[in-house]
This record gives sequence, structure tokens and C-alpha cells, in this order.
Amino acid sequence: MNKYIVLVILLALFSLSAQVAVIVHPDNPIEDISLRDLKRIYLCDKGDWDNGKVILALNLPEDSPERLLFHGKVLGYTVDDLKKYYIDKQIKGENFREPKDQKSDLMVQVVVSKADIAIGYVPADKVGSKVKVLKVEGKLPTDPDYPIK
Amino acid sequence: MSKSLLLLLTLLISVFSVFAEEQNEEKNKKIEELEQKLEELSTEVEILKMTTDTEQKEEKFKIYGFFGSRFQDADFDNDGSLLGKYFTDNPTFSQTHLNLYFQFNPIKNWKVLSEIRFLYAPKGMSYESEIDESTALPYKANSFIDPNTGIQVDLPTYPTGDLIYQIPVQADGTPAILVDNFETGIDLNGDGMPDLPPGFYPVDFNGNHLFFLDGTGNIDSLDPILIASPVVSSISMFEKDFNTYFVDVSNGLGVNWGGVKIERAWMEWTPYNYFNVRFGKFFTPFGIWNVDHGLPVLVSPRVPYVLKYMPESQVGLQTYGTIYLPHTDLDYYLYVTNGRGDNFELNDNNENKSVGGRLRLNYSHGALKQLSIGGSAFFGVYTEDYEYIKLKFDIMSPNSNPTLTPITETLYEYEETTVGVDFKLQAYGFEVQTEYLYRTLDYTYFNDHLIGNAYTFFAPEKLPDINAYYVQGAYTLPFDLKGIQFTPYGRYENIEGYLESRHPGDLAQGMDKDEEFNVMSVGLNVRQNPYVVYKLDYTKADYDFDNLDFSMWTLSATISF
Repeated sequence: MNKYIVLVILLALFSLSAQVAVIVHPDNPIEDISLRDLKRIYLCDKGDWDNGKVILALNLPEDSPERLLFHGKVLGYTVDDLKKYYIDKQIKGENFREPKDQKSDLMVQVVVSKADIAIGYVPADKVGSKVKVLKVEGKLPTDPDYPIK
Repeated sequence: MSKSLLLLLTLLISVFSVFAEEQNEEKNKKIEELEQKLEELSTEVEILKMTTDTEQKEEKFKIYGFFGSRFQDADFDNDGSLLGKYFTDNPTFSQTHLNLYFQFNPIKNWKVLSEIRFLYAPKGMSYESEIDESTALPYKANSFIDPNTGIQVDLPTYPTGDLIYQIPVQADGTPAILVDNFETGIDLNGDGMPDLPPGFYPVDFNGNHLFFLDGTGNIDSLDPILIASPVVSSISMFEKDFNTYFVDVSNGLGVNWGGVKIERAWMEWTPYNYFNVRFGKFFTPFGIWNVDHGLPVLVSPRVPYVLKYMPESQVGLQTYGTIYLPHTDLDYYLYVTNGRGDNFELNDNNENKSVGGRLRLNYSHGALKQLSIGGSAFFGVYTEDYEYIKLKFDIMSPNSNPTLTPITETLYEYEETTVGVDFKLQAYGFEVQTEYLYRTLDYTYFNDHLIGNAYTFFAPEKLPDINAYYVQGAYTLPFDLKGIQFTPYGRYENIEGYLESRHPGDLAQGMDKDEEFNVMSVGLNVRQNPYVVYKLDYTKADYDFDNLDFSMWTLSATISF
């Protein structure tokens, strides 16, 4: 209970300033992604890019505030709820591959910079030059009404 | 001189130590570079592995499953009802589920999945304890002792249905027959009164005590039908007469063997999100519950009775997919199958194929996890076969052996049309779902020869339309207790119509047309962690007639693995 409240407060404080950039490999032709497609990808309802290649979705570590922000704003699920969601999906016999947890935002960027099928999200102020930042609903993280912040 | 030498030596040592330090630094730098390269390489390998794995979409081989056990305490208004016969009203523990999934992904976009449920059924009787002494017959499955030769004769097992034909054999080795028309007995002379009450009747091969019937129930000595024919289709034969007991030679203890049920087993090709093909045995994509299906997924431990009016699973070909629309997803399923039938996994006992499908529009945005509306339909032709053994006996030569011939006749046939709509909303911890189903049966054939006389108890009514729905609401409390989530829920079910039932244990057995029953459930779903869930449920069922009312407490525990 207390943990929950602390998390909510932290998330609230964090969300006042933080924003999350969605990144892909520079060769990926996609420039803009909708929140709905992001949700489809991370809920494993969409498994392929439009060019037919399989999507490799990457997560930040479980305790990362950016992950909490991403889950809250994009997926509508907590980390535990999402685990249950994947178990349920498995019991239903559905086809899917869970997003892969990475050790750090740096690792997310390294994987994305080397794998053209990968997609990830990292703190917007830590994006390096070897990845491409996607617009979300037509907005860049620098735009005032960017949706994942 | 000595001072100058000392100075020179100090200078040399300083130069050498600076040089050595530089060398060390270089070495350290090289080591660091090598370590970095190693890390990069392992990262590359990891990424390569990740991307290669992802290309396969899923692991090549995976085993997972779930386990479920429960405690329940039921109270039946009438212990003599079928409910009382097939369920106990004693407080009882049950180990209900051990389901294992085997998943293979041999190459990209191909998958095989089977879900196997392990059962304690058929749970036959043991010789020592469960046979009623008054009718105890040391019978042997699929065989009898020929009294003329004293040799055991094996009877064939026929591949139609799950039946294993048996002729019980009495203690003295002579075969016996069981008349199991528990409602009326057997009317031999057509006067509407039972002439042959239920019980075991000895048959001797000299022609004594044999009853011969023609198609109208009259004695026919020219083309006799052994009255034992009801034996092979009677409930008691299925439930009790299998011997599933044996002595384990390793320890001398008795063992009741169980069985396995293949819940589903299919292969599929999944080239696109919008087009996939599945072939094999699959759960019928009808409504919400039957698609979600697995016990850990469902909020309550009890399946709504609506699901009894559609085939749970079918064998055939299915295509399905999701079409992404701007703000919604459109899921579709279309299938062609064998439809219903006693042996539908292996044989279609009529020429018609069943068809069906489902469409669902699904919207979600932010905290609105799901807002969906769906429609499902199923159309099929069902054929009920009646199987029995015909015994021909030369009455003029009483010492000759009889011949046994398996007979399959169509008892009746109907076209079955079932349609349903469903709705689900999930937001802010609330979950509301409802399903409505309408089913109508249009009989296209009745076997008057069989249905018109002694076999009337097998015949259904002709207008068994069903209207059924349930509404279920649940709310996950907005806090947890050390990670434990609590979700109280409630469900109301209503079923109206003639509830045709020929299966033992069907809760609706015996209802007439325009009857209805209501079932109310309330409970608490407690999720200790994503894998372990407990469900406490209270269900109360009220029927239009009193003798089937019941109430039941259930506490179940499920773990996914």
C-alpha cells in the first residue's frame, strides 16, 4: 500500500518534468507512430513492421521511472498487471513474444542502434546520435503537447 | 664525486619510474580497450541472439500450463435429482485441473500448440468396494465366457463413438443383460406399461429367458433384437461398468487409472496480423468466455451456463486475424468444421459441415483498456446415432451360438443455429462483460421406428429454443496488500426455453419448454502475484421447478507456470 502511494507520488513528481522518447534504428523508414500502434506493439497484438519484419520491442528496467511513465501513458497497465496480461495471453494460446527488458537506457540505445527491427523508449534527454527518435502522434519530445510526458 | 653519482642515480631512477608508469598506463589503457571491445562483442552476440530469436517470433519449444484445485460445499434441494447423483453435497476437496501446454515453433510463422488436461476420469469402480453386491457380476470388459466351450470370447470394440460394448457375465459364466430404462422399464406388448422392470436378466444360450423384440416392441422370433440393446447406451454402463481398477504389481496397492483430454491441438500458419490459418482442434471462437477459456484467466471459478449451448471445441479449419483500423481493431474468425458429434475429433457422422465465425470491434485508449463489441454465429447439422448390438439366434437350434452384430441407426437429426452478441468494458479497475446467446434447433429427421416406442426417453422435444445471457461485473480495488490484488465480482445468469438435455450431469436436464432458471454468483478474486490466484465464490441457482435448486460455496486456487 505504502509502496504504491510512494510510486504514484514519484511518478507524479517525475512526470512533471520527464518525457520519454521512442527510438528506432536510423534505417527504419518509420518516422511517426501512433499511441495505438505503440500499445499494440507492447501488448504484443502487433508483431510485425509494415515491411513484414518481426518487431523486437525493448523495455527499460522494471524499476525505471521512465518505464512506469511509458506503461501509464501508453499501455494503461502497471508492470504487474502487464505480467498477468502476458500470462493470460499465453494461457489463451496466443502467438506473441514479450518485449525484452534491458539493463539500462544505454543498452536500449545500443540494441536499437544495431538492430533494425528494434524499437525502444528512453529518457528524452539521454538520446544519443545513433538512433532515430520517432514522432508520437505527430509530435517530437521537444514539442509542448508531446503525449508521453 | 659521490654526490654527483647519487644525483645521477636518483635522476635515472626517476626517469625509469616515469617510463614504467607510462608503460603501466598504456597497458591499463589497452586492457580497458580490450575489455570494452569484449563488452561490445558480447553485446553484439546478445543482440544477434535477440534478433534471431525474434525472427522466430517465439521460442522453438515451450512447455507451460496451470494447476487448479478447489474446495466446495454444495447444497441440493433434492439429493435424488441428477445433480445429486453426479455431484456430492458433502464438503469436498477436488483436484480439478492439471493442464499442460506444449508449443512448438519449428520455423518462422508456423506453430503447433496442444493443451492436454489430465483427468481422474473415467474413474470406474473397483471390484472390492464399489459394486453393489445384489447385482454384482464379475463381468469383463469386451468379453464373455462362452458357456458351451468355457472359452473367453472377445467382443470387438467399434470405432464409432467412445462406446466399448460389453456383455456382462454372471458368476457362473453365463452372460446377463441389463435393462436400464430407469423411467418406464420396457414395454414388451405395446400396452404402454412396462413389462420388464429395470434390472439384470440372465440370458442363457439355450434360448431360455431371452426376449425378442421387433420394431414395435412385440416379440418377434424371426428377426429378434436382443433386449440388451439399451445396455450399451445406458448411463450406468458408461459410468460404472468400466473397470479402471488394477493392482500395481510394484507395491500390491490398488490404482484407479485416469485419462487425458486433448483440450485443443492445432497447427497454424501466421504470415500476417490480418490473415492466419489454423488447422486441428480449437476452441470455438464464440463470445468472450469460450475464447478466453483458461481457468487462470477467468475472474470466477465457474463457467457461465450460456456456454453449454455452443460446442466448446471443434475440429476443422479456421482463419482469423486482426485488421487495424484508425481507432479500433477488427478481429475476425471464420471456420468450417465437423461440428458436434460423439466422435467429432475423428469422424463426421453426417455429410454436412458446420460453419461459423466471429467479429469483434475493439477500442482502447489510455486508461480505457478495452471497449469491445462482438458478434458470433454457428450453424451445423447434428446427427444423433443410436448404437446397439443385435443378437441373432436360431430358435430352432437352441444349442447353436448366437451372432452379435453392431448396428448404428440415426435416431434424429437437426439443424442447429446459434447466434450471440457480447460486450466488454475495462477501465479504471472496472470490468463489465456480458454475453447473450440464442439457439434454435430445427429437426429434419426423426426415427419413428426407434423414437416411437420403447426408446422415447431418448427423444427431445421439437422446439428447444434457448435464450440465455449473463452479466458480470468486477472491480479491482485501487490498492494492494503487499502486492496482493483484490477483485470482488458478481454475475447474474438467465436461461430461458426448453433446455434439451441428454447428457448426464447437465444441470438443465428435465426442464420443459418455457421454463427458465437463474443463477446468481458473487465472489472475490484474490491475485497474490501474477501467477497465483484464489477465488472464493458463492453461487445460487433457482429453477422454475424446485427439485433442481442448489447453492454452492467454492474456494479455488490456481497457479500458472
